[in-house]
Amino acid sequence: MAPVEAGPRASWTSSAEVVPGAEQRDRARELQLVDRVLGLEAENARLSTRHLLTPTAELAAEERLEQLSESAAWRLGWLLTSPLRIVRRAKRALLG
Amino acid sequence: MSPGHAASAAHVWVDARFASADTLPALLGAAARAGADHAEVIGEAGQHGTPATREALGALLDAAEAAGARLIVWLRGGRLHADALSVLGEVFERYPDSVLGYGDWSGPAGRIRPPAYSPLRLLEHDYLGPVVAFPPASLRELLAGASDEPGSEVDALDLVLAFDGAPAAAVTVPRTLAALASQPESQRRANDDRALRSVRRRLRETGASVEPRAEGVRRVRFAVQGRPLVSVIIPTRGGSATVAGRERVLVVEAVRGIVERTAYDNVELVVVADEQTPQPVVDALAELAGDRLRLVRFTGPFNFSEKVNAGAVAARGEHLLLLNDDIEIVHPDWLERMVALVQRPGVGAVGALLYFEDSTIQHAGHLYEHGQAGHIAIGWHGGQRDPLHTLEVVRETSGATAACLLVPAEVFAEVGGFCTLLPGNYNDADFCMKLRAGGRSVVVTPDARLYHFESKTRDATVLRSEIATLRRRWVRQAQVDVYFRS
Repeated sequence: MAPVEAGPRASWTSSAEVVPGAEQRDRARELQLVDRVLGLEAENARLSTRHLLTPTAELAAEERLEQLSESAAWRLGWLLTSPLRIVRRAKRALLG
Repeated sequence: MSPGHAASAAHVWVDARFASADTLPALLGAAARAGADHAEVIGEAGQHGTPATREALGALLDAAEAAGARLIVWLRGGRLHADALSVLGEVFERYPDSVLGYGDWSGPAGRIRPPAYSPLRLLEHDYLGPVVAFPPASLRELLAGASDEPGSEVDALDLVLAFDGAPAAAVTVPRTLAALASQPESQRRANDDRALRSVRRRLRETGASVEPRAEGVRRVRFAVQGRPLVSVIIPTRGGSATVAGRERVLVVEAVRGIVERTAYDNVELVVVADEQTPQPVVDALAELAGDRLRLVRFTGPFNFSEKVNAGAVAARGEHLLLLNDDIEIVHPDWLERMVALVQRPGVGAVGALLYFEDSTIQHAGHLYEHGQAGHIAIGWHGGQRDPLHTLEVVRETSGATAACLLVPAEVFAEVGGFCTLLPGNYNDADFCMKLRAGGRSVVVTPDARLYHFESKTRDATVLRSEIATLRRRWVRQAQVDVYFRS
């Protein structure tokens, strides 16, 4: 069919419309509640010390860290911030 | 994980079916240099090695255990790296509940990084590589379940196919464990044939058909159990776009594709339409879909997740197919393929292979890197091949786009549907994370291919709150992708 423009206030009608009843509204609310609970569980798990990752994921994350610490960007950053570390170390040595 | 750790009494079984006879001494030598306590050729019936039958390998395992072996390494045509056994030993010590392990290898195409344990993918492609390791007790158990035919040959693939424990107990080691040795063509073909027979044997009771798809790749087709009603949920505002030089009303063409070009016909169409959807569009939908159409009015401010949820609560189907309106069907059996997969045990959702208008890949699964979600294989040309057959096989993935996602209605409700805190972005990523956190897998099939004219309709604005919500929930899981390792 050819494209049709709609005005912002247009409102359609159709015999195929399903008007949500109380049950549907309750189910939609229930979905939202379950989502929030699972979301909070996920946040809680992230903040706790509980083991979140599978062995495969843990090893992959360690590999990623290794790659990162061997990258040129990391080395350059390390080089650029080295004066700061020297000053900090000297300060600690002097002031105890 | 650092090299140099002592190997924990590893016995290496060099499988003669995966390497030419003249390379076997070199493979045995590499095993010895890697610190193997014992190395032995298997799979050479009637010659010097041990036949790879369940009985003969059982006896070999008895001897290995008596000699104090703590790890059996099944070598399938790989020259072990010097530190491979110490790396494996350390992994199995660190994760004592692990049942099996495999890792990266190098070959003519460079370093190959196999995915995390993916049981459906394994049926279509053996991604285990040249090194598969087992603690002896696990190996004994897997051998018992590998084949019930006395005298039949067993391969490490049979053992991993027999594994039905927690997926986390199968560890993918992100280290290059071996270099692939050259293999005669005849041997490769024989191994392909044997793998085909193994998968057929494994799926005998499911009624699935297993046929060669391409070299080294099989096509497994599960039959749809029963004829469940699928509710196709299409959120829309009735918009139009130019596709292939022709103006079209997106939702009407999407519905036409389902009504006229989809073989699976037990569907209802739940169209969640914005208030301002033009009346002629609504009329065209009613004319196309007849009494299979259920229209849900959406009046709130834009929120894709709310629209999907509104469709889900109005749906009556056993399965929900979430579908964008800017989709075009490519081949008729796509939905049937997806339904058959979503019925497999442990599967939480099934996604499709999506193409841009120019036939390059738009989506082949979600890809997570550095806390960001992207798309696997984006921009690849349609027939592109890679050593792990990414576009050719049914694969477990970290997630799949809601542009085309099939999910059992029960599972959708169980995880709370789509998160309404994510109105425009990441709602599908969050949904898939919830599925996976609950122990279900997300699968993408190349046997469901659709065009997705995403750029035609999508507002790419990402809200700060959306990024914050995703990070609050899943930042750790989104750092690395274990199914598509780059």
